[in-house]
Amino acid sequence: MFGDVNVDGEVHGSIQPFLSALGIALLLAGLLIWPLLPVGLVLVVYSLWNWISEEVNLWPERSSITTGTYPATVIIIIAEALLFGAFFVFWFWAKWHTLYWDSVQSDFSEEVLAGRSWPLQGVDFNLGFVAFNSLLLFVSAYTANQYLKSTESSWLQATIVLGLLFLLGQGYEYYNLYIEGLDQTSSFGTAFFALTGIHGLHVLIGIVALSILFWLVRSDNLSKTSQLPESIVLYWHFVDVIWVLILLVVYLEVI
Amino acid sequence: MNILENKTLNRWLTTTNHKDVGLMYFFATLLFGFIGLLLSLLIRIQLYQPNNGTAWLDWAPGDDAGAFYNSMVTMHGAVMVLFFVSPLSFAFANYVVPLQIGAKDMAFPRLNALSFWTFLFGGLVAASGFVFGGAADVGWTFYSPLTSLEYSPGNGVNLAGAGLVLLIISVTASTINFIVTILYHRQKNMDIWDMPMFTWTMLFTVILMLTIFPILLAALLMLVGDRLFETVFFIDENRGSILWGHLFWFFGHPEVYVVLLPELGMLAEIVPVFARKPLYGKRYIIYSLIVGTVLSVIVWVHHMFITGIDPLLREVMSVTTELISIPFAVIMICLIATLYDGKITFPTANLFALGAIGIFVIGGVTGVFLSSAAIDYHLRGTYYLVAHFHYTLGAVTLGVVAAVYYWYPLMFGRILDERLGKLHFWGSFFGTILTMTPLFYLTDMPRRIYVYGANEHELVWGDYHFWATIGAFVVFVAQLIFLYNLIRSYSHGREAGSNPWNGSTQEWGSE
Amino acid sequence: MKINTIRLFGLLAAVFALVFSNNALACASCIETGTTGVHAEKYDQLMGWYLLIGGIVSLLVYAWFTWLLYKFRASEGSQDPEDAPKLGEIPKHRGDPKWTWFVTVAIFAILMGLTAGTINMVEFYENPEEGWGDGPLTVQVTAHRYYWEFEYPNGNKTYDNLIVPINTIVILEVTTDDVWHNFAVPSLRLKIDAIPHQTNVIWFDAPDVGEYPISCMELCGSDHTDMTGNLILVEPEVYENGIDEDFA
Ligand SMILES: [Cu+2]
Repeated sequence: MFGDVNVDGEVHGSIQPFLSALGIALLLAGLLIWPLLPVGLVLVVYSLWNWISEEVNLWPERSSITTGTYPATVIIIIAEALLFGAFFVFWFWAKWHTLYWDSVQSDFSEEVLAGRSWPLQGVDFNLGFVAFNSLLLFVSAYTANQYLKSTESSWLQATIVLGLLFLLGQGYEYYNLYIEGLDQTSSFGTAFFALTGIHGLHVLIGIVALSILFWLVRSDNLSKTSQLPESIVLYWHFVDVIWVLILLVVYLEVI
Repeated sequence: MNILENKTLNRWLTTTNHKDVGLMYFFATLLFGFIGLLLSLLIRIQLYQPNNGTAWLDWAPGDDAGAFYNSMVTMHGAVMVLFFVSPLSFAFANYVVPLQIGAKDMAFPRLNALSFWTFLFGGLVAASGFVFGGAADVGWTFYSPLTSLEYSPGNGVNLAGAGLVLLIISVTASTINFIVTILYHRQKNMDIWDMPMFTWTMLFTVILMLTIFPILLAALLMLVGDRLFETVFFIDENRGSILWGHLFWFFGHPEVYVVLLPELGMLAEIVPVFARKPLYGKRYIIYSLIVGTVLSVIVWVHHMFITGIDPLLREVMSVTTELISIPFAVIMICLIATLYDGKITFPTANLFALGAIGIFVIGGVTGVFLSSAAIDYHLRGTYYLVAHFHYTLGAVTLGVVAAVYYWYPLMFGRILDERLGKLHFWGSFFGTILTMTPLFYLTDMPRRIYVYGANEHELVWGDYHFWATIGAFVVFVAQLIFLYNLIRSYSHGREAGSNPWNGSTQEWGSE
Repeated sequence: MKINTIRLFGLLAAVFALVFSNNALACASCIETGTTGVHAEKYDQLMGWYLLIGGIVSLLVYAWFTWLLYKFRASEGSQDPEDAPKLGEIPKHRGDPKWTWFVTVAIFAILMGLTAGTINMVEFYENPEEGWGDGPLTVQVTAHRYYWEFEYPNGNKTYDNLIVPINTIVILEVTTDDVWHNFAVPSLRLKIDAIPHQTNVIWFDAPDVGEYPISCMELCGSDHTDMTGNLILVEPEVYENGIDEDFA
């Protein structure tokens, strides 16, 4: 009747899924009741850390780690691509409304129209810097690939460092734009920060995943048959591709 | 730390077994289902006669009868669709799919447990608004700009948004789990075409979920940004209401197919077993599922026919919407044709399945009417629409309840009492018809109003609402019988043995 | 034997209930009173076709369904069919592609016929030139929480009541001042969303003097219920006199 046995006839219960879910719930509740935010964050980090440590011990018995990780990553990437798709839709939607709809709709006050231009007046991207920053990300794609070929963990290290540098660069760019007067209260600002910000978040997730991989490799916990390396590298490439799209659409305005 | 040493609690909090997770889904969805049912009953009580007083609504937090009524309508819709029918299908999917395809468990058992817990917390967070100063009262469609901080300053929308984000995490984890399990963890000799129908429909369900839930997540992130972080996604200058409409309905329309597909799979399991004949046209059903899944993501504009969008787009989406009725009509006809040459018996499980088909025909045919961009000019936003989608969702619910009767012996080792079951079925079946049929007549009454009867004509509406309310009570009493049956049969039901219905799928031979 | 009788009655009652609800959907808009105008006429014609065909199709399905249930019910001592489901056996494929194709093509043909009517009607709703009366008379409709504001060509305004002459093409330019509303006059088969920073246009032309209720059909807040009004159709002379004296 009730299932008591788990994979390969052994019980592998864990409290971590429950704690993670509770942590995520508290984290979200924390957006409304600030004191809950740190509690949720600590709980999420704590439970995910334990989750991974427990999982490492189970790997030898889990077949999904050798067959399922890569497809799972592909599914996650599809979901993320759609998520980015929606934010790209907003970019074009807001741009079209600013450039076209505003002119056919007469009921805007001068005041409203003054705050609407695309790109926002007075905001200039430092394309040279952006190019340099992009280069960091593209090189990191190369180093990630080199890791897959050579399985030298130093390539992983390089990838992580390049990713962190990219994030730093983006922070620097945000800071400069903010000084120039770009914030989230204009349509252009909202679209810009949403796209690049969520991309940055994904870079961060990628870095965390790469770091976990690095730790697993270093501590010799990664089984030979695991699909984890190619999965995480695939994810990293996906983040790269999204950045190329952002470069084309946001910075170079080819469309 | 006594509570952590409690064995039962510890077992359920730590379990990652697919059967346990399925059972937890089962109990949690029953809880949410009863919340949704109670809300519907309160709505029906308020509407049972013209010019009904609203004193009892004023007791609600916020001292605002209208807002409280709106929050009941909103939460009834959201809870029933997102936290009852769909997850109840996932209860069975968790329990049955791995058994049907001979997998040892889901591919990622812990992720599966995470799916359940995030779903549970999501539902609780969304509903908690009733306790914390008012639940979301903006309709389950969350149309902008009513959801903006300016027009909905309370926490209800925030809480509903947080609940939905948790649900999306749950759904995404489930999607990964089911796709990998179904595609990679079948037993060696099972060809994909040999998979049982329920597994097939779950595969399409999760693929559809994968397509639409990220869009809902994006829309919710934008909404939360606007409400909490001063972003300007849905401002009027960008025609935020139309943008929200597109994003929401790109999710919202396929969502009804997410609810429907597993139920079709259940019917395709149950009807052949009790007709003692193989399913008619299994391959045609699968092809239809493919066509239906693809079409379902290109029909969403039929929810926006009268928003002033381009007539050409309206006409195209009218056509796609009418086309989508073809694959589902084929599936229904195949299900009915299965009965041909059979030896049909009528235990409660089959009654619910056949009843679901009967009710679905009317839901489907009225759906064809509403697919017309022209007819929408009159019927949109009226009780006719309400009756239509309650016929389809009512059919879905009957189908899922059929699955409860069908798989209860598998889950609990005993058969649900047949006498109580038949009472439950006839109550639910006639109750649904009695509740929803009168509403087809109210083609000029707006949805979501809580008092009517200002003129003579509106007084006539009262006759129809009266019968609808009676019907709702019949349904409610039937569900109480169901609840009693579930509890009683757990200890007193007839022992089921391993294969009580002579089923052919593998879950019946699994132990 | 007794059980079988009960079963038969159950089946009959179920079929009766379904046919009854089938009738109800076929009665769409039949309890409405006081319809008027060119839209209602054309709309009811189109809806009539949908109802007729929908009704026939669903009744055919029910008849067939009932017959199958009755004909192939298990009786005492009857044997399982040869290909009955057996545990662990994958059922043989059953079915004839020609039936599936027949169903698909038949439904497709019916639907395309109906769709032609729909497209025709959508174009009609878009073209005020199709009206027969004088005019056009353009009225600006602005929705507010929770009332309607109507502004006439001469700048006069009325609230909640829209007063226009009969036999005149009236063009409504609908928008909103706050949230999403929906302007609906069921008796005239008119309905259009009122959306912020967008003007939606709908027109009508009606020959009968009278009062026709206006409702807001999109949830717009806690007093959505009270957002009602009347379309008051008057003789052209009354309209001319009244508008001058600002009878709002
Ligand atoms: Cu309104």
